[in-house]
Amino acid sequence: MSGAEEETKRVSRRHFLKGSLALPLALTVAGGLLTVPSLRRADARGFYLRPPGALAEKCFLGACIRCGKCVQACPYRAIRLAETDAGVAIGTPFIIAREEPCQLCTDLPCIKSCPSGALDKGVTEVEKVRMGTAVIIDRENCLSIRGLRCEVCYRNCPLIDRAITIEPRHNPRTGVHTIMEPVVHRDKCVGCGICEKSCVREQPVIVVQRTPLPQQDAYEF
Amino acid sequence: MALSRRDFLKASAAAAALAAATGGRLGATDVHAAEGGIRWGKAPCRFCGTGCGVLVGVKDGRIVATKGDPAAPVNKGLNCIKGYFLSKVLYGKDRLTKPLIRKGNKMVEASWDEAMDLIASKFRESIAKHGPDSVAMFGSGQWTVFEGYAAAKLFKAGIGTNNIEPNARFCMASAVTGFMTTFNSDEPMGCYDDLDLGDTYFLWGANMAECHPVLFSRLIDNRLKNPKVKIIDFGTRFTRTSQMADKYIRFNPQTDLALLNAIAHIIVRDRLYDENFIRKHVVFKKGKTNIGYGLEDKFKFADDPKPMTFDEYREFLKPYTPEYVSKLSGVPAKTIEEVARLYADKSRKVNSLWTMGFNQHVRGTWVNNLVYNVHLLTGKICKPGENPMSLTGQPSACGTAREVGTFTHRLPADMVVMNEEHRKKAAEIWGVPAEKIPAKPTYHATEMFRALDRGDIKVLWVQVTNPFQSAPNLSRYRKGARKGGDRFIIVSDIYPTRSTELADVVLPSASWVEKEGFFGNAERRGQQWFKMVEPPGEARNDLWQTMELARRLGHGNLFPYKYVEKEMFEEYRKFTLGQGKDLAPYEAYTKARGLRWPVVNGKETLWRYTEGYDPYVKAGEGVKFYKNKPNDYKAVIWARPYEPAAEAPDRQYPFWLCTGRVLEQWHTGTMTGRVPELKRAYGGAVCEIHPEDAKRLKVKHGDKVRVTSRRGSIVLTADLRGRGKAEKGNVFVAFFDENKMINELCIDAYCPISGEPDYKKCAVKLEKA
Amino acid sequence: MPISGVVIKCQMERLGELERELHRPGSVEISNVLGDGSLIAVIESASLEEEISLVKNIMAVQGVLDVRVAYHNFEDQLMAE
Ligand code: SF4
Ligand code: SF4
Repeated sequence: MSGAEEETKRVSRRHFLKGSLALPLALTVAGGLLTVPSLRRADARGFYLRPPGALAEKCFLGACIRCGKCVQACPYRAIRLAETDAGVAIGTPFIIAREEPCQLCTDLPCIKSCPSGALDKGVTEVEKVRMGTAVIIDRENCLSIRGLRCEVCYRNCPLIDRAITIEPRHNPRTGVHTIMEPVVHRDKCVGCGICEKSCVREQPVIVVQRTPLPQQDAYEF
Repeated sequence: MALSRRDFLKASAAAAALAAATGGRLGATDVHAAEGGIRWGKAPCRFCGTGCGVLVGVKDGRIVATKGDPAAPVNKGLNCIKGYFLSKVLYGKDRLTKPLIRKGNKMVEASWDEAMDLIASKFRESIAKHGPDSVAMFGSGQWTVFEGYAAAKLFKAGIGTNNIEPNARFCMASAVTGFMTTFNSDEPMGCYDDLDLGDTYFLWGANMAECHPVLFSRLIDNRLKNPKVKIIDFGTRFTRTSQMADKYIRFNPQTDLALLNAIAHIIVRDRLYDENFIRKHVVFKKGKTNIGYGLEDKFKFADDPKPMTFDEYREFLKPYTPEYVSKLSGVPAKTIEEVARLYADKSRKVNSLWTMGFNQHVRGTWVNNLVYNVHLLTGKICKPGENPMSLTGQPSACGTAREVGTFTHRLPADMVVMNEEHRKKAAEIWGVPAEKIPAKPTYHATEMFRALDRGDIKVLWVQVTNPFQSAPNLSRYRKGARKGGDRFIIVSDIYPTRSTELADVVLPSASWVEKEGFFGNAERRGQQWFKMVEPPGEARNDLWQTMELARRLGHGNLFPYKYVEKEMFEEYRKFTLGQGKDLAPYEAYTKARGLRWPVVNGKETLWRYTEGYDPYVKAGEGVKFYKNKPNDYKAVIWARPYEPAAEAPDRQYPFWLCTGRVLEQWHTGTMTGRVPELKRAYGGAVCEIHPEDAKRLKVKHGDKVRVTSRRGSIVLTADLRGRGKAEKGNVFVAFFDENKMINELCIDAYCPISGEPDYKKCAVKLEKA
Repeated sequence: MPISGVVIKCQMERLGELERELHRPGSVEISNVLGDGSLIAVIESASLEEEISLVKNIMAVQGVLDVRVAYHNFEDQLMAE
């Protein structure tokens, strides 16, 4: 395990030096948003959208034996295997949501097919899946936030009214209409990526990202 | 060297950033080009009956952009997602650009001359051999006013047949007969301002959130501003509208008739009505009962209205106790009581809004009557912020199909062919002898396709619509269309559709801003636009196509215009003047962002029949239903009973099937289906099933299910997580998908008064496929 | 010496001013002005740290809504390592 971790470090270091992924991260932190290419393999922070039930990235990389069983099990061909450009992650399963998101099959056949435990058999309900979290990364380009009646991502959300809800507010620009803003709820969003696929903009303005870690404090609200 | 390398890097950095910002169209949005180059013109949206105004940006003969028109009162610069993509609907790769003539199984390109010669000869032959009633036109609520007017004039005053119908028979006919039987004048008294001004809204069988998106946004805003506002959604399926409503009341399909009578029952029982209003403005009537379903070919029905007294009406309502209706409808008696009290609450401004749930109904006319009853009993009508309002689904179902009168029995401005006076007036304006216009209506839409199947109609021309996907009991009519013999079908459209595939001649049409046009939306607002771009290839305006047939049949004199659109409009306008339907001069519409008729002395009318707003109501009259002369200028409260649906679930077919729309796709998807973004957003029809029903059938979300009715069967993906939540024992399927034509399963039963089929109720069974 | 191409989204009203204000030959060069209110700029700097602070500074300018990096080249730096 520690050997594998070591390997991770080394290879991702080389990956960093090849200069394609890691640096813009720094700029993102500094400067706000980063252009997200529509078909992301890994996003700027090296985030791969993994199949449902995947262990935390580090453990996943260690546990996954790259057998491709989950790829075969997926009826929607949403899961694919990372190629050489993925560095250490080569051969691991991942999903490009904008092309074919996870459809959250009720019986989760990918998890069932996984022989190594990299996809956690303890996840048996789609509501429990946590692949990532959808985020509206570009509010100004969201048509609903601009007052149009879009909400396509919301209506396509398989956990509609739970993971994404509509928060209506008055539109001061027209004075008589409602802005119907789609709002993602982190505690319910499973990260399937169906919203990312369905967004009608040329670049999706809602995308799945790594779920932020909870930060503890003593407040109850 | 180092320097030039550096310059190169800088240039690539700039280029990459530019590409990212412009989506790869380098320089396309350069600020200087943006200022020059693009010309903006106004037009109403091509899709729904809301009638949003848009600005169309044209450059180098192409639509390069559209945006909501900030000056348009309906939408103030907003649109729904369909309207957002308007600039793309005309530019699908497979636009029809040349006339096509069937040679065996192949469609062969032809010149306009060949195509029109062939069409004219088929019309001539058929008329000579089988009479004028053997040829027919099936048009549309998407026809411009000019197109509908020209077609009606050619058929009724030229060819001499009433064989003309619009697809609006499939969607608005019951609203028309509702208005006519209650008020003797079509179209609503209220307008969209009621969405801002009222405080209580009952939605009946209307998924406004998806089907009238921008209006719904307006309604919700009213609630955001005013905590008193209540939105109550009556439905048979939990929709996005139900989700945002204050209360969702589910009822068993078809029992809306009983519910409305129960509401009236409570209002009358507890004397919650407005006695003064009733005395002044209302008469009571009853008609025939047990009126049938039109399932047999050539079904005929004529109502026999009889006056009744208020007391008799009270007797009629007796059986509709909340308890009885609760059993029938599944709505708790207490809820019915509450709703009736809300309707009658004197401190509330009450509106009812409805669409296809009422209209596509075997008792569509009745249920329209019944909702008016409640408003008439309580006097909550013809006041700002307080009206019953029928919403429409097509951009000119009102403006063209209904107001121009492109139905078999209609003439412009509420007139009908059965009335001699009306025929005389029409003939006079049209410059033909009065005998020319036949006095007998022939076929309404469903009967028209039955006549084609039987072979009574030989030549059928379809314009701006797709009946061989949208008709009910579709298989019969699709087969009928290709039975051969003397049958000859012409379809004008802009893309290949499920109707063009059955045609003998396909004509490539111009659409939307490829021609000058005029639409009328659901609030009586007429909107004009100019031609902004040329249609592709040899495609031509449907108006030209109709006039060209007229010319070839020797009826060219019916269209003696130079500036066709304007002169035709001014001629049409003559029908409306002095009738309470007055349109403004054409010029006025070229400038205004639409005007709501009657327009008298340059002023539009927001509320009809109301003193201070409607110029036809004199000072001191308050409210006057001045179009209802036969009933002493009063509106009619109709005693209309509950009667069951034509086909209800049974052991063999245990589910109700309901069909309808989704926000992203429009009608049969021929336009929206060409926009990749909309396709991605909602690509294909699915079958909404209640989770418990699915469990019993061992069907999971995403599984394939076979849905079968007595008429057809298709396989669909089961949807248990969707935007719409089917109630137990019900399934819902959208009708836009040309690869999954759910209308094959629908029953062709219709309302005997309106002739409108019931797409919302038939019985199906489900199996795991 | 990293070079990046960035899209700077600005308030429409301030677009013209910002075009002048932000332009600093040798470090920030505005190459295009777009109709949607964006400026396309090339940023050059001595080091990654400097570049980050440059972007930060641009972000802080009044009227700038958003800065996005669309292209980045730092091959010199790689060679140096
Ligand atoms: S689909 Fe895209 S544009 Fe539409 S509401 Fe969702 S995020 Fe906004
Ligand atoms: S489809 Fe209807 S709501 Fe949407 S933009 Fe067009 S007119 Fe407006």
